[in-house]
Amino acid sequence: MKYLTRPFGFVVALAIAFASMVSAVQAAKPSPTAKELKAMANQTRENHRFFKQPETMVQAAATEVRMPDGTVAMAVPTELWNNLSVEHDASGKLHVLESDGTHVPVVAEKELDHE
Amino acid sequence: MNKLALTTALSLALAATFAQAAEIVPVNFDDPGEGYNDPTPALPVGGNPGTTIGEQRLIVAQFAADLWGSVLQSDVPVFVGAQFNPLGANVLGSAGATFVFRNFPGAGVANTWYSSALADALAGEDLQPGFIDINSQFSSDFTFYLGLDGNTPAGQVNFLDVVMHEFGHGLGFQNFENEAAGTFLSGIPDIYSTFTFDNSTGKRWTQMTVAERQASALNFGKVIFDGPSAVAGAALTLGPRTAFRVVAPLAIAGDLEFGTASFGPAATPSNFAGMVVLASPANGCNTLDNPAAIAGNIAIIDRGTCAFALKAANAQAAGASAVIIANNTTANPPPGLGGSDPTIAIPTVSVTQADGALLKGALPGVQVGLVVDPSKLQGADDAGRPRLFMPNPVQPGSSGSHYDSAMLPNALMEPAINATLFSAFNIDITPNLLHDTGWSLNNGNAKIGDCDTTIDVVDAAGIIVGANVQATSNLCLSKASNRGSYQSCMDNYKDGLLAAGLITGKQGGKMMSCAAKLGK
Repeated sequence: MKYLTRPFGFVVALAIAFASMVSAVQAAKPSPTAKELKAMANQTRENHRFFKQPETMVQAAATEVRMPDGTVAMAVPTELWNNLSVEHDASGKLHVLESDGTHVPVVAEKELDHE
Repeated sequence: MNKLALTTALSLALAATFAQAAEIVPVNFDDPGEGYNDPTPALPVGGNPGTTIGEQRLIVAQFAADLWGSVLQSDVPVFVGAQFNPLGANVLGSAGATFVFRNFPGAGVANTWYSSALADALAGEDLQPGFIDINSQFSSDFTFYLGLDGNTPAGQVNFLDVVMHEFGHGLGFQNFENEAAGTFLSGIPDIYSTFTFDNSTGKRWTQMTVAERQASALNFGKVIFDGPSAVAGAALTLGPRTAFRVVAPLAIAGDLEFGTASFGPAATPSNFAGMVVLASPANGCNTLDNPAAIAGNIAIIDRGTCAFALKAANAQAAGASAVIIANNTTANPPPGLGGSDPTIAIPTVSVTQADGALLKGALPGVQVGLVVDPSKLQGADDAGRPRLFMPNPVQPGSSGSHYDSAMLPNALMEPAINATLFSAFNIDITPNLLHDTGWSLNNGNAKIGDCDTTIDVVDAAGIIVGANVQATSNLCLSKASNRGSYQSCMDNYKDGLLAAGLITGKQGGKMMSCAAKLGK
């Protein structure tokens, strides 16, 4: 059980194992009812408590899981997510900009009022 | 190809879909009393009937989910983690796909990453049951405008636009590449990068070496998205290109990239044309000592030492008709010029350091002007393909996974959200790009229950009136205490759509006919 020493991979491995058990059932189902959707949402909320998203591409690589049908899964590192930031310039105008999850937001549009 | 033909071609391309509207489900991760559960009382605002801050936030998140869910088709629910947290100064929020998959049943391109929600849609099954597909969190320290009507007060940020933008990333408007390093996640390309093409090298990102991709990520203005749906949509949505054109001398004639200023009048072809003269002093921070040369001409001034607005004021005092600020770093695109001075009555633009040197090196005799070129699109290359945002230096998290900020009209997936967006009704060429990556779009009409309203869910130009009808119907239904109050809610909504010219009277009648069949 190599994933026991890899916290991210461990969680993903569990999830994939779970997926392989239930995906066939899932695929055969018609559209879930509102009640079923709510139950599924509650399940994701519960599972999320035990899942930590990797932060870097190196950490993410440890989460790679290969399934028997050839499917390969990997958790996305937060460094590839987007942050959305805002800043007011001297004229009070808003500038909304993005950066990744591990960097201080870049305010490229603002330029300096004073240099 | 004219617009009608393009519309037809795109409509055909969007046809032949068999899946149902996607069910996008925000999953509230907040604890009691905070974030989406914030009990602070609030007055209904801009069509958002919530009576607490938390409820209003949830309504916006659900509305965004319903808009995207109406536009995209999938048989598999998409679960989106939703949470408010203190995120630090100036940070509004973050979002992204939680998992990627490759080589799954239904994958369009082998050995290529797809974001979780898209992979599920293509596979027709949940590849990761029990886990969210997208995660999103937004700042609890920031006062968003929580209305759904787009009437955002000055100084506030429209939360719906922010959520629509971030959900767009999570649904697949993103690559899985570190632009600064040129490396793909685990060395495997992603479907978005399959359509990322560099005009300078003639290569797609998936055809490049790591070093080539690293260089391409800095190639501002030259990297485009060449998916056929996005290209067709660009022709329908983008306006004619306004170019900064060097007319003389012929040796340097051509179009240059330029930035705009937050002070003074906007530069236009009518107020920005003439001969260029070098300011003295070159940084323009003091009274110019060559007013005789400057008067009636365009002053070129180096960036640095003092405020942009002061440089413009000094040039104006010397009689300049306009100002060009030449950057003092190698960054590209040319900077946006911040600051304010209500006395400035001449336009100011910026150019890169390299282009500034080009202009200054050819003096005297440099003639420039802004021109509107109706044969080209603003924010697209000369072949009409939408540009992607590739600034130099790299802006991690912004580079690559956005449309270029040069687009006009502004697009939802530009790196800087601005007040001209109205994503409740218009998401421009964002669905087109998602369609290129594999998403099926809903090419039908909005339905209330099983009743066809005859209103397009999404058209070829990203207008989503029908999606808004479905999202609003869901909202009215969720808040209505009885059939009458639901119909009253929809009737008020219909009147607004008619007044805005978004639907015809016949469509309004059909919509209300459908609404009459539904109720509690």
